[in-house]
Amino acid sequence: MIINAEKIGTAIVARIQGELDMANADQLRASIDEKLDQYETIRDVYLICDAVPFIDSSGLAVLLGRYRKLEERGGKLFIANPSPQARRVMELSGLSKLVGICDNWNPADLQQRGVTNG
Amino acid sequence: MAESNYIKVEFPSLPENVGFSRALVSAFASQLDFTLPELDEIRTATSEAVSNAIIHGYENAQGVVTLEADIKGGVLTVKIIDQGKGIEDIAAAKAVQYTTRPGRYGLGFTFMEAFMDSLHVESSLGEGTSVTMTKHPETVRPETGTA
Ligand SMILES: Nc1ncnc2c1ncn2[C@@H]1O[C@H](COP(=O)(O)OP(=O)(O)OP(=O)(O)O)[C@@H](O)[C@H]1O
Ligand SMILES: [Mg+2]
Repeated sequence: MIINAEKIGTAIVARIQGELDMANADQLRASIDEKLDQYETIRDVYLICDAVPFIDSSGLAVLLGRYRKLEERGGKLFIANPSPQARRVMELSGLSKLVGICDNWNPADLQQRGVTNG
Repeated sequence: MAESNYIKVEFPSLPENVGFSRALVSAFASQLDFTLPELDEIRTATSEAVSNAIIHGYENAQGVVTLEADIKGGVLTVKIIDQGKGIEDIAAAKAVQYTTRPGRYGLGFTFMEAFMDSLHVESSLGEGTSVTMTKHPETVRPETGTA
């Protein structure tokens, strides 16, 4: 799994590539939590999922865990451009009611959401 | 298309093999006329069953997972077998959001049940578990006739 996570203002924007299951769930968890631990100012996390064709329950558990961490900080987890499969399992698990799902995401959306560099 | 077909594969209980197993079953299942969303369902159910064998059956230690799949009469059957620790209470294990491992969701069996036509679990403590699932394509194209 390839994860490019960067801090942009009070958000982490992480572009991930690969199928998310028990083989790489820990890697995703660690790369987000590392940034959350490093910067207490971070509120929101955007996971850009164009290149994530598949997520199973091991992956959903990581998403739920990050959602809860962010909720404690008064922030939110966003999933951008989930695949049809990812959307389906997020809906069945109830996770889609907790996280923000962004369709037709493009990087310019960040600025519209008030996430700016600095 | 052949009347019946089957595959049987054994692999060590490594996390890397979860992705391999769902890709394998999906490729095999493609011999029937499953739609892409149906193949996603088959992939997800397979991923859950194999993950369970590795995580719960073998508790992330070394073991062998057996994957069998067959196609008979237009129906796909997938069977995942481990010789791990076994399930004490199968009915409880199948309940939504039931898990014996903190940090997990408890969704595996829920997905298997929702995504496949049937789910059958056999297990005995200390001996292992086998999970058998079947599915047929919803849009069945009759082999004869014009419908
Ligand atoms: N192959 C197996 N061997 C032993 N126990 C199992 C096996 N499969 C499932 N179980 C038991 O059944 C429970 C429920 O399984 P299920 O897949 O629904 O949830 P989970 O694996 O705990 O969480 P998730 O699938 O969401 O990661 C498990 O917590 C475990 O106790
Ligand atoms: Mg499971």
